[in-house]
Amino acid sequence: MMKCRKCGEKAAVNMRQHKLALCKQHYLEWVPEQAERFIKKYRMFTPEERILVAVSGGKDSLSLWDILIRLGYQADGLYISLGIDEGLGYSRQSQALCETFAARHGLKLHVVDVAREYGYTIPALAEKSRRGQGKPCAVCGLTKRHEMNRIARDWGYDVLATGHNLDDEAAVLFGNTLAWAGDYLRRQGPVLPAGPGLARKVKPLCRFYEREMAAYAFLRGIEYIYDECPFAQGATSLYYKAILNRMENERPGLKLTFYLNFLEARQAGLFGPASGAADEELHPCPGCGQPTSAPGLCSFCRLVQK
Amino acid sequence: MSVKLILREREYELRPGMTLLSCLQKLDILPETVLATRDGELIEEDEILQDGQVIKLVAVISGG
Ligand code: SF4
Ligand SMILES: [Zn+2]
Ligand SMILES: [Zn+2]
Repeated sequence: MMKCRKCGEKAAVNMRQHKLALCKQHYLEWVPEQAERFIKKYRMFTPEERILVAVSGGKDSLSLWDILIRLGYQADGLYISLGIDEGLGYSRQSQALCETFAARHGLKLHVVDVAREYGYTIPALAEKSRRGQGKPCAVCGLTKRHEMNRIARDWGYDVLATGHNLDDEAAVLFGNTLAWAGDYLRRQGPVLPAGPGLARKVKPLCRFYEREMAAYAFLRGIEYIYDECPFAQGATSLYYKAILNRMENERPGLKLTFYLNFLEARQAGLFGPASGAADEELHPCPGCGQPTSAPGLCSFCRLVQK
Repeated sequence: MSVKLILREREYELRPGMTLLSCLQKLDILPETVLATRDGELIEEDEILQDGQVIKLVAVISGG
């Protein structure tokens, strides 16, 4: 029987990548401790700063919110309603789970409804734009980014935190490496510094395996949306995750090493100066005021004005 | 005599007496991609599954 390293009781979670097994109680202590370590190591934020956590109703973002609150940080939530239904009520259910979580812990949750703000749901926006008929993910990503930036700025948050876990980061890294996408590689990391009119962006869970976050949500009793977004099927990220997990299975720790060695190489300047959002010439968009690289309307404003 | 494993809508029946890890390998499920639960508790890979037990697998990997 596998035993908890701290107390010798029966272990609930075994992490081969860390050669560490822990019981429920010690696992629930270990995760926030580790998160705090990473927050400090990468200088993500301080207890004085106001954090906006982007929550989707999924295990990662709700666990992140839970962890930040437990650690004593000032974190409000932001739920962006995408209007994805597809007969499953996906957005409605996700929103309800975020609202329940916020109410249970007495937290503040901002809700932005894309259809109410801009007149179209995400699937409808994708339909009318040339960017993604049938596959709304590009439009969805663009919209989420824009709305997170907007709310963070309008409500005066210092930091925007997202629930990306190690598997998410390793999958993105894998894709960017296959494409030798130098610009993206240079910017990928636990922290994206603030730019003109843009809050700092941080990923406090970037060193936790996806399985670790699922175990945290499960053991903590966080109710999250278990079903996937109906459009996630066939996503490239899932394909990369599957490949990485097959390698991880043979070589425990491979995903973590892949990511951490990348961060070191990036820090050492392998991809050029490790700067952030402010490294190219940016102009404020005349529509929304958010910085954009080309003169004229930003791609989000072009998307919703068409 | 069987152990039942459930993952999303799928159910699998296996013979008892194997470890969870062997069961997952038989089903071609990577341990890294699931959490295994029995009666609402997490169980680990070295656990030997007994006749009549129902193991619910929680898929942990999401896309998008
Ligand atoms: S899978 Fe695509 S459409 Fe669904 S939430 Fe993710 S990015 Fe948006
Ligand atoms: Zn213990
Ligand atoms: Zn704009």
